[in-house]
Amino acid sequence: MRRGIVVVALWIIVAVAGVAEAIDHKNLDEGRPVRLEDAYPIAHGEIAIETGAGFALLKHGPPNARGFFPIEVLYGALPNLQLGVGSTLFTDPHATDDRPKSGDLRTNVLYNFNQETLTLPAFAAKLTLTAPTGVDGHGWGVELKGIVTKSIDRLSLHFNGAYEFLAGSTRTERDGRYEFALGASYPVGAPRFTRATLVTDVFADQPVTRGESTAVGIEVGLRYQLTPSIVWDVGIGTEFAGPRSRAPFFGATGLSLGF
Amino acid sequence: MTRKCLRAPTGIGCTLLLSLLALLLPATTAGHDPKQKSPHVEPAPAHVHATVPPEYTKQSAALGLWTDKATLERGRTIYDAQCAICHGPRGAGDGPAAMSLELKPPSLQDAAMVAEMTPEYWLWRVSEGGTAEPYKSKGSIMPAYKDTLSIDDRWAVIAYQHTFSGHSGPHVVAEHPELRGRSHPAPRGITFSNWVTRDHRWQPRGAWKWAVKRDLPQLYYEFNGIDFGHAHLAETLLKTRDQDAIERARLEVVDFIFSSPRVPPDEEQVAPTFNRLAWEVAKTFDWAHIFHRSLYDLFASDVKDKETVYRKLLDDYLAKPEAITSHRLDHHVALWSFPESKAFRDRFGKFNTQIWAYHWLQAAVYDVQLLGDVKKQQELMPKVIAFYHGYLRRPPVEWQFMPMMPEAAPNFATGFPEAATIFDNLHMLHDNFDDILARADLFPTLEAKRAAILKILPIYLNRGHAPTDLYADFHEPGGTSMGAHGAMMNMGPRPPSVHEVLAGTAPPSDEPQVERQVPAPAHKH
Repeated sequence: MRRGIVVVALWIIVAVAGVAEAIDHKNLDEGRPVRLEDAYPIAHGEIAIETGAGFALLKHGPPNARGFFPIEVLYGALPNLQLGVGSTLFTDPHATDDRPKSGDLRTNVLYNFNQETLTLPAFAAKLTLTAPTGVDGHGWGVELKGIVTKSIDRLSLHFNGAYEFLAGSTRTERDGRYEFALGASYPVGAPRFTRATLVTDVFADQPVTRGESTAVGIEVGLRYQLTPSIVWDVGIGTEFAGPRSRAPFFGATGLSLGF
Repeated sequence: MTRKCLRAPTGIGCTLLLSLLALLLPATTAGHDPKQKSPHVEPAPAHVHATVPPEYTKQSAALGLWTDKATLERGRTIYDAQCAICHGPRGAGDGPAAMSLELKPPSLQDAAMVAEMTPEYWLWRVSEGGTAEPYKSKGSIMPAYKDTLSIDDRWAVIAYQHTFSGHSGPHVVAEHPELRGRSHPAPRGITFSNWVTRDHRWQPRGAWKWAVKRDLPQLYYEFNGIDFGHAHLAETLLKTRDQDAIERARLEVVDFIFSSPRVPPDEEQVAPTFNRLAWEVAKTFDWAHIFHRSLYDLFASDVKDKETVYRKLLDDYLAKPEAITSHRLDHHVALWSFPESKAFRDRFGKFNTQIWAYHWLQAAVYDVQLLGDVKKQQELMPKVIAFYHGYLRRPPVEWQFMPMMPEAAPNFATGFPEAATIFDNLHMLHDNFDDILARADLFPTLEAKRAAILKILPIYLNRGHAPTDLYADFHEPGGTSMGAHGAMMNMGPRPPSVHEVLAGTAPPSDEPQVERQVPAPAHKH
């Protein structure tokens, strides 16, 4: 199945590359390449595919490493409103004790409330629904996230705060958990060069497993516009505190295609 | 006429007359309410409000000059000896030599016209006479009076001429509101809020999309460069008015354009302050530019029924809240008579005309596209782009007014008048916006700049004109098209049509531009 999804993803990339439109390459979406999101949806009417591959080296195995392959389709369904649907596959689907599970289907809606001004930050809210469609999937998840973006000249600061309600939890799992991320993005080389955006954040994620301490880490990534329609990204990070299963080092790379 | 003046004993006076002709004749229309005097009925030369060189913008009339009896008496003596032969003893333009002039001297008794003339502009014209453009190109042979009259004598002549208008007080803003310019219109029902949704929209989809990038890549790169040029200028002007800094920014834009940028620049990253200060204007620019790009794609595509798609794209565009009206607005008078008007042109002439060169290309491309299919366009476009690059290498600072769609692309303006008008209005909005940013003395804070911009923007918005026309007083008088307008006004050197470029009859783009007889469009749509 994993191979099939990768093939489909590659086919989509090839199929749309020739007809794709200019993409908002500075737009930060979860996982591309870091978890930090900005308060902006994709443009009204735009369709985007975001996919890639990543790995995490785990502090305590087995396994000692994990690969993951996310894919998400986004649609600017209404002005300031973005719909998304996607999933992530893991190389060790039975070994993950966190949620979502490998193959869980995640749908989300992100709404931006306002235009950022010189004084007023941009605010957005995102609602994500996780369906237990994946390997060992159980229980639904409903996450509500608030996003704030405030820019100072070309430097943009972002704050993400989320809480996920977990239904169908087992005795060892929490009924809910929080996630926070605080970071910044900057267009390296602007104004003359605006094809690269550097992004970094610090984050705190509460694990699903009861008794495990919150994972705290940092990430840094780069989004680079390859063509008007394709953005390539790469990022790395570390969880320097947290549960036994934390990842001292992880990385991801991927593509965003707008059409 | 000129020969007579040259041979006359009072040749110096004749040359002064010629200078004043160039100075005053064009002001006739500008000083009048166009509704009161329809240029269709009685075409009159309009005001060539030419750029005052920096060395004269710093000059100012001495306190009391205008009413000092000794000065006025000295001015009268000089005027009677050197000017009256053509201008008439009371400045009515009825001197004996004027009878044989092809262009009659204007009347200095025209109070409205005189009231609009700034002292520094007046001094410049008397001082430089026919040696300055665009008057030199008009054939003026008037010597530069800075060589024969002291500056005090020149001021004295000007002060005396001023009395012909019937005004006995000082020639200052307090007594001549025309010097201040037309006030920004008060709000007329369109309001803006600090809390608005972002409303970022995607380019309309269709079979035509991406055709320019695919089939006319160099043109695509040029447009990418132009996008950068507009954004970089706005951000630079928001941070400085220093001549050197502005010139550096201009050269950075030229470098950027000549680098053939493969990817459209992210304008929010190029101009973050502008986009967060005046997002309504930014959206207005963005959507109009997207409309531009959609039409270029359409005309580069093999879509058969382009007219239908054009209508679809036009309707889609006009439905947007910040869409620009397709009513032809009065660019040359009503929209360019604000207190800040022409400030950017006069202070940053190279950058201003470089931007006008962008607008010339954006217009010219359309008529190339209408000449044939994409193969034909691929054949012709390099010549047009090379011509445009000449303007970038040496900005056509002799242009006094922005290029208009009917001039550069007459066939497109005829066949697709709504879009042509929208783009002319768009380009004028750029000028208004740059003028505001160039006048930090009038608009010292970001808030003041924003307030000024938001008083002007509604004039341009389609929702300000349809269904209820809130800004009818900003329409071009009589519904004239630029073709008639251009023929009517004395506009100085004008840009060529793209057909002249393709035919090889256009004047070189990288040399000083001179006034010429503009031939009729070579192609009919």
